[in-house]
Amino acid sequence: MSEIHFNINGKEVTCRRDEMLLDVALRHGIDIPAPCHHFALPEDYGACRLCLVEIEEERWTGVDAACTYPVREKCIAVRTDTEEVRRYRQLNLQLLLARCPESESVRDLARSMDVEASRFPGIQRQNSDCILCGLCVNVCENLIGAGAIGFVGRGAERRVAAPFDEPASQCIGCGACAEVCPTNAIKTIETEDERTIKPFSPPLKLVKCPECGKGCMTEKQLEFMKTQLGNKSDVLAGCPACKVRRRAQEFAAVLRGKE
Amino acid sequence: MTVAETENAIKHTDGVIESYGAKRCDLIHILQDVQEEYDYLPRPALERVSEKLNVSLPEVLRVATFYAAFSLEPRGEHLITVCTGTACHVKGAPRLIDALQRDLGLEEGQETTDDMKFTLREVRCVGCCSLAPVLTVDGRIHGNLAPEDISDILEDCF
Repeated sequence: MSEIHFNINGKEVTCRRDEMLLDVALRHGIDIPAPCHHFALPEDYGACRLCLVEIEEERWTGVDAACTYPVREKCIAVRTDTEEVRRYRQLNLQLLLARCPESESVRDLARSMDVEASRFPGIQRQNSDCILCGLCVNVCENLIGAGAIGFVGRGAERRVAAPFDEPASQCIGCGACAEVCPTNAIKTIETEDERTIKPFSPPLKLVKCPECGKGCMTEKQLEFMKTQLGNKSDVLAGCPACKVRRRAQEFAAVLRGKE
Repeated sequence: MTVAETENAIKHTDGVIESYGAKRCDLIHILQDVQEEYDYLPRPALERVSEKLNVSLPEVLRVATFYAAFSLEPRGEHLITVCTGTACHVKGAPRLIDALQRDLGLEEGQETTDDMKFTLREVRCVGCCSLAPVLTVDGRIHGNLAPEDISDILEDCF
């Protein structure tokens, strides 16, 4: 695989051929706003259009989304903070603001780019904090492998939902969707015995940690992971805090033995 | 759907899936054939497609709810589509829709009449803008319409 040399904002950078421009920029400490990008997910889907940058190629110069732009030899220079780029980002933020006027994180992002209000009319809908970035759908389908939620509809009516708008039967309650959600539109709500992924899952029973007695994962999650891990599934016992403590104690014992 | 209808739908869907060799890339063709048979996509059929093609149910529904050609709701006996493309819109398509909703007794957002006789849909351009405003009844085109013509058109369906 060949190496590509080009510059971002005048800074010389190097990357693999076909590496996504956003990844290259972030690796070199160049900040590009990208709410629909998550390091845990291998492929971006280019939803939010806030990572737009100006790209200079051998025969073309224009604006494109950094998250879905594979860098090749023809790429010469990238500018992430030109007047034009700022204008495009501001426009897209106005569209996001029209979609999610209530969302704190969208408003924070807008303020950071000098966008105070949207000139587009808002739309009334459920779950108004969702910017349709698709991270939750991606993580559920491709990383977890549960496939519990997905997009439905198109255009202004597009939204993320569980099949037939019923409580998601395939949801294992792992909470990965809530974890990757950039606007906190999905929430993990936990009581002593149950966890609910709002707005998708039914209340799911929690398994108690054998050591501290706290709920640590849902029954469905344990079952799901057991089928994936097979005979290695005893590593699942216990909550993360207790596992870390146990590991620390083992480590301490080893160190003491060395003294 | 009754139990027998569900079983039938599953059996029919299995046949369709088989005819395409149960490949993921034929998802849209399979849904089209099921829609052809039932005029909508019954839930048991969608679940069967998901299972047999090894495509998650949300993914099947994403496709099924994206294309206007698919419907998840049972359709009425007669399908009326009103063109709301630019030409028809300018020539008064919204008034045709108002008249149809009134005559059919449809509430805002309701597509199919309670007696399952008619389904009313909006479409974007039927492709004969010179006849605007246009509507189709079961595929037959009626052009140059005024709201007064609606009752005659509905009359023909009975």
